[in-house]
Amino acid sequence: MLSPSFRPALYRHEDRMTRSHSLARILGPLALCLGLLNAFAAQAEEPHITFDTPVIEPMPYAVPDFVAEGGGAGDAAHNIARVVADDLTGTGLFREIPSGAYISGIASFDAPVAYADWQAINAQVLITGAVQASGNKLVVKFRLFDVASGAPLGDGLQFAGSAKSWRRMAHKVADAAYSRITGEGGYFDSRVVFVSESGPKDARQKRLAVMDYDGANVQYLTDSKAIVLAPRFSPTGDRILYTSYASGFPRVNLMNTANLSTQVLDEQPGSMTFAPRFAPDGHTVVFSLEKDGNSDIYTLNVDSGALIQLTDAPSIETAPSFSPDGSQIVFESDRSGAQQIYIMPAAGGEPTRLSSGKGKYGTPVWSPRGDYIAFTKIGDGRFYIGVIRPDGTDERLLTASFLDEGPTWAPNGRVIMFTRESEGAAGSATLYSVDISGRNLHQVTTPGAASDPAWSPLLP
Amino acid sequence: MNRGLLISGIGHLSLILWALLGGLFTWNTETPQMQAVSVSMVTSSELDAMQSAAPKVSDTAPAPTEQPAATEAPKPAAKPETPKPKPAKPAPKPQTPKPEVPKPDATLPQPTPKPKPVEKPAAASDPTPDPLPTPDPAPETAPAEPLPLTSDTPQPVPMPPTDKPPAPRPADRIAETPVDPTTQPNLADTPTPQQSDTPSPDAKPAPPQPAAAPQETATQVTPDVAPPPDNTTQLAPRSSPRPASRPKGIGKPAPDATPTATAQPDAQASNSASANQSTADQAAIDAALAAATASDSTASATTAPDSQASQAGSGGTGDQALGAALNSGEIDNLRHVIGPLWNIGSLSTEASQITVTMRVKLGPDQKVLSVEMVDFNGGSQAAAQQAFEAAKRAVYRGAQKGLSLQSDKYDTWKSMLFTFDTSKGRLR
Repeated sequence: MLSPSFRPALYRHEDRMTRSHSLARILGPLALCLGLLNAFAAQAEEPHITFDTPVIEPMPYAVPDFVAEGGGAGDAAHNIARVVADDLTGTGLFREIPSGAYISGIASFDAPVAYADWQAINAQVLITGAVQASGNKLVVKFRLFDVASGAPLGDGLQFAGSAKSWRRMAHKVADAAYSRITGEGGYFDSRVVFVSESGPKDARQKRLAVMDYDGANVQYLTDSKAIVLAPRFSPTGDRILYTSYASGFPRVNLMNTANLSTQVLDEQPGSMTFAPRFAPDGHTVVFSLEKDGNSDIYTLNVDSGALIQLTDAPSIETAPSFSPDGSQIVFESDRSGAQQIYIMPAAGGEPTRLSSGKGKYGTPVWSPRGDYIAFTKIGDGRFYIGVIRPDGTDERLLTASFLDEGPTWAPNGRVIMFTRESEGAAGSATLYSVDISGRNLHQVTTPGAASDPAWSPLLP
Repeated sequence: MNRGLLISGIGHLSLILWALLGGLFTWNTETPQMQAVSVSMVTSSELDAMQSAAPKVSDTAPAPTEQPAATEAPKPAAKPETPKPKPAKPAPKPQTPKPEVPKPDATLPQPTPKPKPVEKPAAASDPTPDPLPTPDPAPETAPAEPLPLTSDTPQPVPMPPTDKPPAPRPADRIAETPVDPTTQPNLADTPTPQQSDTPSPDAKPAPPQPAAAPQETATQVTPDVAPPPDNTTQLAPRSSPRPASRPKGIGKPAPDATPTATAQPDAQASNSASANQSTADQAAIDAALAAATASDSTASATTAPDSQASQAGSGGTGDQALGAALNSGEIDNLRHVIGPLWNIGSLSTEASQITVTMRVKLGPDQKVLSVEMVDFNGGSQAAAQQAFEAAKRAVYRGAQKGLSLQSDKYDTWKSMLFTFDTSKGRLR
């Protein structure tokens, strides 16, 4: 501390020194305590860094050919891996790393993963799988790996089915991978019913067809003798509602997809029914019924046949769609002088106008998640597909063209499919899909012209 | 200046020499050799024969692999729809047809003047005419087949999880090849590329940094503290061994400067000698305080964290970057390395709106030891897990690239909090 050599012979020196001594004597331990406290505080306080500019781009992933375990599984192992890759890449959220870039392959399903090799090619997720074939049966198993952290992403899964259903098993694998990575449900193992069109525009023939969501496995449900429109799947996917002109007037028909038997719903003479859609309970159908020159919205209990009128206005009310919880119905009406979108309680009641922008709005469809309502908008001579919140906010237009119409939601509420028709006498209708972010617009492959798509729920 | 001229002269001279002797003016005029490809001649008759022998490509068959499924299915209920042959023609229609009645979609195209895009409304709007008289050649009557949705379709059934994945060993290939020489086991651990990418020398850069730190403090302090013995000048560097604490360096002289500033009035009041004495006393007290606070090795680094935290944060992008002893450059470097790797493009709409805070623990080799989610807001737990994994991938990948952290600050960065805030890049 203070050495005696510092002692000068000045007045008040002694007092000052004693004061200094006492001060140092007090401050020393105090400072020591403070230092220790600071040390503890520093250990408790960690550097805290905030990252606030995320990158939004497809995630690179690798899916080598699945391992064929047992003879006869080679083709299936390759094809299943390809379908999985097509599914994931088709979402626009993932980017497949071509197999030519692979440093190492997957020789055995249970072999350890050489993470360094996959990190080197910038793969962030690796999907490995194996296919066992025994007779007419296939067993497909797969695993997901987070390449960056060098750890599996969840548990592996396996599916068993007949060799004929290899595509569905591939879609199942893709659904599981998609769900595990993105956190939302998949939609690959689903089907789409649509109107297949053929012939010239002035004599177009239409029939119902159904296909996998990606355009594979097209099957026709009706012949081309009667015009058919607006098919809609039931919540369980085992029935289809559609409008048929077989009688010369539009009538709502109900088809059982197991045996293709059909029945006409509410066949009242002198009326026309159209624009049907199932309620979430699967027992109630909501549709438009035109009688005496006025069309309103009705519900019909398929089991009991009870018919209930929900709207009663001199205007045209049509295109009803239930909310996922079944409590509300969104529909289209021109009661204001132009087509707009309205919401009313499922049991009927005073509707609330939803759309407020310029132009006309129609064909509203409630998202399976309930967060958005998709619609067709007409404005400035162009057609748009858009979405809007059920409270009327956050309206966004996703597409625009000469004619876009008739949106339908994927089972996970992330993707919308719709009809796009090209201009001119030679123009034809095609199916397109788009992510609700407005990205990843692409055409869905169909054998010919197609319109009026309706997505099925995820298959069991 | 002479040195500059000398360097310039040498540079110009070497450039001239290179131009003269280095082949600048002797372009290689040799043309590359051509590669010859042998071609066999085929006569037209042979070509025709080959073409006729080639298998024909059918224009149909949308999906060959699924064809068997379609053909296998029997055609029991082939035409359930046909029963009503054509009653539509007479069409007793009593009710007045409304123009837009047929279908909601039908109302949409009407407003557009020129296009007649949707003729389905056209066909539908006039109830009387039968729209399907002419069977087109192409579509044969519907080969309606039962849908495979319900009964007999082989449903893929989820099975219980397969056996546990094997322990993820890094890479057989890598371990087998060069690693085994027993002389240096460390080499077996280091061959991963990130080791070479993170050159951070562990203990070497220490000498230059302390030299930089005291210099800053010394320039401000020395004029005032000149009279006291040189012990103080030795103490100052000891208490601030790292330059990382720039705020600390700034804060450090302040206590030294303030006593001298307060000593000045004393000196004016009495004697300069007494002033020196008083400053000496104050310096001695301060030295005691400094010794007490510096008694702990970490204490020196902790004297600044509070002030430094805020200042380092302000040196970043303006948010709460509370690096205890990480300077703004190091924080920016972490952002620069990890930020571009944080990809939320594959997240769900909900997960892409969640802000996640995680604790990242690093080893001395700057590899990730563990990452745990500390907090999240903006969505459900399940969605937060996805958002967390996306952020975690960025951290791991960044660590693989190299975080360039100073090894002697390991105590500081061995555990850090990272917040990944999606508010600026949200998907909708």
